[in-house]
Amino acid sequence: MTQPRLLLVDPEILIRTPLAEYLRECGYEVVEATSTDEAREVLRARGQDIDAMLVDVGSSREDGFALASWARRSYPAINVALAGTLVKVAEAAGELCDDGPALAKPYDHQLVLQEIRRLLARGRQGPSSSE
Amino acid sequence: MVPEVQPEPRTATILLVEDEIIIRLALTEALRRSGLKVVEASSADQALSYLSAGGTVDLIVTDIQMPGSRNGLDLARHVRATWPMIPIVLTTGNAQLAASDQFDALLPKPYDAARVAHLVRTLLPADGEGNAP
Repeated sequence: MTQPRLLLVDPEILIRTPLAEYLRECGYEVVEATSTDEAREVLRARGQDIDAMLVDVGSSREDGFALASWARRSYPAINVALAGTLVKVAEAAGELCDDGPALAKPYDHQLVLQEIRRLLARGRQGPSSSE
Repeated sequence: MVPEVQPEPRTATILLVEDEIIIRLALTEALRRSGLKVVEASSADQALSYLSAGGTVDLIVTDIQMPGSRNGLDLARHVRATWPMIPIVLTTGNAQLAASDQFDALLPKPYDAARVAHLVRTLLPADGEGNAP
């Protein structure tokens, strides 16, 4: 059985690396992107292989929120979870009209795992009516 | 008689420093398939952040030409001075850039991921330990 593949977008190596390692130990294949530009390249090359993505909405240069919005439009089969400070995530999630998970940083690895499992289990529900 | 318990061998960790995501992705997959842990950095600054924070690394594979305040040679010099036991593999599309004694092996680009994985294995210490900063 193929492992679910996650795209983890976070510019901070000291945060991204342990989370990615934890998720690998939990049985996921994790592709790491250190910027939103990298994430776009990965999606263009391998978007069909990505099942879910976790985006730090504070990602440098382009905002992670813009990446998440673009990914939802361009790759509707991919589940998107947002991460960041509570205020930032709440703003982004509200604008995305998404009832998906909004994860506060610093990451609680077990909470991230729960949310990813929940996302993958429910499957992609499609954009909301206001999108 | 109590059976002798062998300690489980520690998985060696490679710090891969490469700013081109598609190249880095292919190489990390090859290294992980060969049973190694890989820490990914897209710049020398990120790599030094990880090392300075006490991240455990057995070997570094770094591209030379990268954006940011330091390139791969700068990184290699810093690592040689600070953590001299960590082997360093430089990768480059321009071998002339690598005229330096700050590394243990040089890989021309474009490289074959399986060949890199094999080279890394040959450079790792036999016990996979002892190089962590």
